[in-house]
Amino acid sequence: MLFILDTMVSSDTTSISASSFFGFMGVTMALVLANLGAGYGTFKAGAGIAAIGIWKPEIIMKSLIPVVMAGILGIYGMIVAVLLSQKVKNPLEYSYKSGFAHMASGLCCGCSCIAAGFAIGIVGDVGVRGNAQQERLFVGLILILIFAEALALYGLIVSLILSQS
Amino acid sequence: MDLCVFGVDDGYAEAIIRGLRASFLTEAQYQQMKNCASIPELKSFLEETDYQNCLQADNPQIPTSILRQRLKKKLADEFEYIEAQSTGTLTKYLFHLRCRFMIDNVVNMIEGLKNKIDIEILLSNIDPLGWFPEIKNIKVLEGDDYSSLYRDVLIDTPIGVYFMKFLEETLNDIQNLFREMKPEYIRTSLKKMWLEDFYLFCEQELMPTSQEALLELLKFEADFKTVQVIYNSIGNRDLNTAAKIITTRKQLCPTIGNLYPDCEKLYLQAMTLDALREAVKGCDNYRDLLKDAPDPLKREEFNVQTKTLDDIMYDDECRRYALAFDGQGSYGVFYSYLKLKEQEIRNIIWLAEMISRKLAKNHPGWKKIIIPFSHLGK
Repeated sequence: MLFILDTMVSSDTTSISASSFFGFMGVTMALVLANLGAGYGTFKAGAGIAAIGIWKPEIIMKSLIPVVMAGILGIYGMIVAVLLSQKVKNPLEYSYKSGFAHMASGLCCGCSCIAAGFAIGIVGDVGVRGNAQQERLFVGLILILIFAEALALYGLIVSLILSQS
Repeated sequence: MDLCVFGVDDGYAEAIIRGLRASFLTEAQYQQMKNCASIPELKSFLEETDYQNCLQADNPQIPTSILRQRLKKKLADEFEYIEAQSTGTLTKYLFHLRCRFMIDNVVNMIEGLKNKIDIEILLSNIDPLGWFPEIKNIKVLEGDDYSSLYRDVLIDTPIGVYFMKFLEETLNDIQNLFREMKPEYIRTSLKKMWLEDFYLFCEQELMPTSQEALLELLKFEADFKTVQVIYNSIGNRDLNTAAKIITTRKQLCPTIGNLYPDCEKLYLQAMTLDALREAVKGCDNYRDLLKDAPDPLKREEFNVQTKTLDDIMYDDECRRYALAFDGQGSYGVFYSYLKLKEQEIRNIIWLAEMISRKLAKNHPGWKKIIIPFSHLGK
């Protein structure tokens, strides 16, 4: 605290910048929001599996696919977080541009994973219940889940591009 | 998101229901019941199932009506326990569920009083699920004074509001109403109003997960009622003019459900079974359900073997309730439990009747029971 006041008062050429704050917030957002999305997907789809597993135990393993896809979202978040945490440096050497870019990167991945997690959770829940009554729904269900997962993938791609700057 | 917080208030009540799931009779047990040769044998079989305690005090040759009362009392006690363990919205919801039975009780009591049946007998025959403290006050004062009965007693009961709406709709004098109108008509109208009120309650006060399950079930029940009303009014001798048919139907068909208002015009005017089938064509699987229904114009030819519309509908209803039972974090579980347990009691009483009449084992009536939870796992 005194150090910061000291540098401000002494008007050095190097000024304390808050750029690392933004960089590390990017790391946090990527991981936390992605895990929130993955968690929602897991619990919503898991409730559906618990409901139908009682009277149709044969399809429990097939119905685990939505849960697996929700788990992948957490992995996306972790990739981006690990990548970013290695790029964020000391505030003195870390420009504001990098800080903002890394925060944007984290938010991109995190929020996309939340969106995908919501979609996978709700579709997974209703889909496995429907699949238990009508086997032919399975292919349609998988297609819908893949489209939902693609949203998180777009977020990941843009995150990786942003993290380079 | 309400899945996360459902367990805080309502978790215990739901857990009890999940435990009570094990108390349903299985297909194997139904087979054993069918093989019972007499009522005492059936009674001793029932004492080994979950119904053990409620039948112990009676003598072995138990009459069917007493058997029904005992089974319903057990269900009512369980339900009362669950209602006592619930809080907030769940208590209101469970109380609302019981209003349907209260309607039955009140209409039966008024009918009994009209026919001068002793009030003690009436009180012992009421459905225990529909018991409320004010029911002891229903007695007719001298001179068949129904209007004072209505003003003093019926208005204060939990279902008084439905009587009020009913009077507004029929614009009839209270005296004439109870004296002349058929009890079936009163009962159907009141239950229709209860269903609409319940639907409104579910729409406004319940969480999204509960609404998802319940609104579908209620819409389906409303559609059933509609189809049944139209079906029963086809070829009915009491309704001889077209205008009378249409007004009666309009009064008795619920205004919720998938068939209203899209198919309303079509079904109000349906005068034959084929026209009814045309009217419900667009909705769900109603067309398949009605495909096998017998023609109501040939009502005199029905015997025990025909699969009536009621049988087909109960079958489909049980399937839906069994599916709704497995849903997590929703109030649909309580409704399904009540309905499926009622179906089970109906099955047991039907089998008791078949046994007491000593019918041959290849009589088609033996197949007429619908076993809860049998539609799943096929």
